[in-house]
Amino acid sequence: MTPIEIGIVSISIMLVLIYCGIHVPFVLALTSFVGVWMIRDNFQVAVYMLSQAAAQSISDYIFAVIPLFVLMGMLVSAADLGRDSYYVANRLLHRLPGGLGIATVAANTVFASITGVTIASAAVFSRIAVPEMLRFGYSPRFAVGTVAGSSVLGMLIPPSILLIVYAIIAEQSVGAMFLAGIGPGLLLAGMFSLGIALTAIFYPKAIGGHRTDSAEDEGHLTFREFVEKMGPTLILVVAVLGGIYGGIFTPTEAGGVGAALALLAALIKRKLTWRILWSILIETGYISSSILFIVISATMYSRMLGISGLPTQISTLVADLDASYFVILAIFVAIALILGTIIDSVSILLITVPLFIPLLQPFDVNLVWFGIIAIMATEIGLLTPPFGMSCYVVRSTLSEYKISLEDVFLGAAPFALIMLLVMIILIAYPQIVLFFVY
Amino acid sequence: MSQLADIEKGETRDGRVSLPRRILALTTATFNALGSVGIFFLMCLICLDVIGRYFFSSPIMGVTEIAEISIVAIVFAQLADTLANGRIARADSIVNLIRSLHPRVALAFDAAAALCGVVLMALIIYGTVPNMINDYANNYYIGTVGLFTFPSWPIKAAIAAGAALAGIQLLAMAMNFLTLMVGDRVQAKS
Repeated sequence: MTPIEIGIVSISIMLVLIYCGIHVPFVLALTSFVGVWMIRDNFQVAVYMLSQAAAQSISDYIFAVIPLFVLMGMLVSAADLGRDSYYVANRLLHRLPGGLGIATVAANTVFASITGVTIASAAVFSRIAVPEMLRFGYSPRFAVGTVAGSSVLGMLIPPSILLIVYAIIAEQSVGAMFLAGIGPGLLLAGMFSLGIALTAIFYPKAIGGHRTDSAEDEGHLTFREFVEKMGPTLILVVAVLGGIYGGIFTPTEAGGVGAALALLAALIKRKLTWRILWSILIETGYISSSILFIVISATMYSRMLGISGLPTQISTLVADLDASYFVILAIFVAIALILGTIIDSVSILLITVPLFIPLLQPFDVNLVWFGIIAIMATEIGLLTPPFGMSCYVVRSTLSEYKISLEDVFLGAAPFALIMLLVMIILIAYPQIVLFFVY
Repeated sequence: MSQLADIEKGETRDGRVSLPRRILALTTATFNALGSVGIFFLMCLICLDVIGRYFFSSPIMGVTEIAEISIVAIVFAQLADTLANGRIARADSIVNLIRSLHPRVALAFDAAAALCGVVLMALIIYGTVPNMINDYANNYYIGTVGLFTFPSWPIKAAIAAGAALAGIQLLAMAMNFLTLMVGDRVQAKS
């Protein structure tokens, strides 16, 4: 077999094995190992590549950013900063049509700017926002759908683990990726809110009991209350993002400082016991080691791709076909959506991006922009059946409310559609992504 | 899911855990805790460096190198426990569909997945140990002479040790799945 054929066969086998339920990093590393072994016809070369991938691929300062931002995300959740931003958003927005829904989106947007993990925000807001919406007579399907839908904002609004992972594999700067996420994140939050408001006005049944007027009006939000509730969040945003763009810290240092400040906030608010701190540290370990281990195995995979010459071959093939780059983009989005229904976003990015970047190179595509499109595409998969992960998290957090998975998926479906729409807007108007970057 | 997690942790028929498994669980948990503490120390170190640099204009030497080294060691130290808790990404939806109809077939898939991991860990150890000996024999180091240097063999040793522990963990999981598969206790979940 030629190297190209070996490359194609490896990828096909890889997908089959992933669907069979073999752990993603095992599949990536082993099929690439066998691929390299066959292409070079040398077992020792393949072993050498594997041990190099294990020792070198994550041995870089930038990778320390992942556990630090995960730790920060866990600590801000423990400090109940999500609850505070929901409280404030609720007070400010509850009079709007579909107000509590919009407040959930707004609070998620604010919370997303201090945490980088989608699953964490889905779990936090399921516990805070859903009971509140149910109390005011909103339909359960709408309530859970809103929480699952708006949790994807966490991946677009910096800091975000997915933006970091993409920056690393596509060799872009983490700072540029963070800036690129702001515009699309805000646009998506705006569209979500608009969608909720329009539905509440024209089709109130879908959202449910409209009892916000009869609700006890708890008075206006005082300035003091606002500062107390939002102060820690604002300080964290300014310290982390301000620090990166002010040139004061590297992204890794921003993660360290952010985690320390979040720890301080949790201590001051007396939300932290030794026990909770310990479980946070252990959980941080699980999340970050699983991400970094996939990165190690994906390094092996992208080296295998490089040796096989597959991406360059496909790209000349595509250039000969004279296909427009919209076709390639459409194929990428389709693959990401399909994979998104079964595996997590980090794995999808690591599998698809190394294949597609060489394909898009002849079209002079901006890789920062492409990263945002890639992340949007994989995140839509988190909301769609059969296996959307955010929906599973929301449901398992709310097990006592007797909400079926079907309700979560149906409730999240309009949000997935809005995401698709926003992605199309971003493809049509790349300026929205690049506005903050350049 | 929780049932599967129990199986993966190696609960036996009457809920008791055999001694070797308990030792294994304790070891993986200890390694994991070391990694978690490592992340925490990394956070402290980075903050001290930032404070030292901006307020006392005396940065700590070698924080970058320490971060580079420790991140690899942390990941491999935590690998076994992360696997034991079923936290490594895996598309288990199809296997779970099979599980509800033919639990034994699903267990065969689980065992196959764990055995793939065993092979991978064995290959990593096989590739890393000679490098480690080589680094030790030649006194290879990381960093800049005069500022901060650190020998590179302990990192390779950490990788080999972490991969070995993960391999043993996966082997124990595979054996557990296979025992359940041939055993008589498994019934289709309603």
